[in-house]
Amino acid sequence: MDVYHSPCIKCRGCEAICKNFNQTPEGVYRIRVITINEGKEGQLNLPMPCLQCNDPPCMKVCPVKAIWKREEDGIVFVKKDVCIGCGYCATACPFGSPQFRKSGAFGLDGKMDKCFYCVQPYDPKDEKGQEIFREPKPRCAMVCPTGTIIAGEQSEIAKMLRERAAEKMAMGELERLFLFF
Amino acid sequence: MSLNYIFFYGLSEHILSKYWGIAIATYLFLGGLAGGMHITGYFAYLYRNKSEILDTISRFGIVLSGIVLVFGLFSLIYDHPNVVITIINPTLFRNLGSWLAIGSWIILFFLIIWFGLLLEHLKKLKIPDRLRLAVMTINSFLAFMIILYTALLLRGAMFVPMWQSLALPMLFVVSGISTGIAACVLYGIIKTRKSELRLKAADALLIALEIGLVAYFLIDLSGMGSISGFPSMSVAAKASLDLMLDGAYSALFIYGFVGLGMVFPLVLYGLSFLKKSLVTDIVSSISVLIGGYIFRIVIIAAAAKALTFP
Repeated sequence: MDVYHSPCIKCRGCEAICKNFNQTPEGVYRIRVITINEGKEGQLNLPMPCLQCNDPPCMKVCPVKAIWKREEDGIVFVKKDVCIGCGYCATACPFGSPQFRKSGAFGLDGKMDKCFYCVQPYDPKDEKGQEIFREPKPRCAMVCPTGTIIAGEQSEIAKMLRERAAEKMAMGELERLFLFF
Repeated sequence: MSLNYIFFYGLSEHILSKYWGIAIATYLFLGGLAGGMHITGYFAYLYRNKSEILDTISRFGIVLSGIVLVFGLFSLIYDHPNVVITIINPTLFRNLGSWLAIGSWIILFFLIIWFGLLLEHLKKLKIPDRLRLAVMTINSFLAFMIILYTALLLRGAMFVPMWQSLALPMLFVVSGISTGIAACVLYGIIKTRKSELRLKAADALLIALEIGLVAYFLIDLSGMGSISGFPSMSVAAKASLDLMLDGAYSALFIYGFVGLGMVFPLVLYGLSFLKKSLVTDIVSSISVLIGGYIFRIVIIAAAAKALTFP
């Protein structure tokens, strides 16, 4: 998955579909649209899902080994049954990807919640033991009207980005384009 | 100052204020104080030969260190109630690459040994002298590790340049031991109406070292602030430095920590060497303790506020 920053119009469709599809609790946003330089020159909207880092700092600092990275696709998951909600991962991640409910019963935090690109969870069964089927495509990428968030095979994404670059070059916006890479 | 870099934009003020506040500063301070008190108590035990005051200080340092640490843990639990689950089942902390887990194990072992020493102090348990010395030596090492852990815990936040400074762990260790000595000196004066010269000299030496380390820390931070290849880090480092020297926390840092916590007690210690005065010793010990607490508050607040985006 790639986040192509420039065309985002901050419609927040990605936030809405993510919340709706993943049924995340109040205060938890697996993806957030952030605006840099609001009202100033160079204003930029950025959808911020988890970046699934190569060497995730959240995984390194988790004291109970609740966070793990799947080798096949590099997606970082959290084992909710192991997580104690200490919040140390939230302080380690520079992008604010680990999310916690604002407050639970007796001031307790909930288990950590994060974006995992809507792929099949590590335990593909729900509470009733039924198999969970997930289309292998993030919902945010499916609804994004401007193509800011794109998902697919690496080669597909590279091709798409090359086409966009060619388009921009033709329009004489090459200099601006470099800012986004 | 605005931070126009993607690196910090995932963070929200909610996260910063939630995880790094006054309760954590209290926890770090009490952890350092407990470690310092135990180490002071241990050295007082080693040199206690017929000295009433060193014997009193030794007992105070060792017995009270665990209680101070428990109060520190209460502060942590107040801030993070979820931590209670690991007190019930500490084996959950199994990632020994995380300082949170390492520190928790150190605290657990420290408290177990401390409890044995407490029972011995209350005459509920008999420990042979040699074994007691060995146990106290091990616990003093654990106490040192607790002070170090209070600084290394902050290194988990990899995006905070101030907390990545190598000077910080050294500063925490020196400050922790210094506050521990100050608390013990204070108790010694209250209990025996006498002050121990060697302890005061050690504290004065540590404070002088602390002043040097603070200078190194500020130079390190200003060096980070000029790294052009990593703009997001340098902006945050510069913002932290500005907050401490010329911003919202400059009064706390300069007058509270450097002035009240280091320069003032150092001058008072110097005066007490020239002319013995218990009042001077009491005032200098209290100011070291207040300065140590202010130091933790500033270190937490200046780093967290530097990352708050506009």
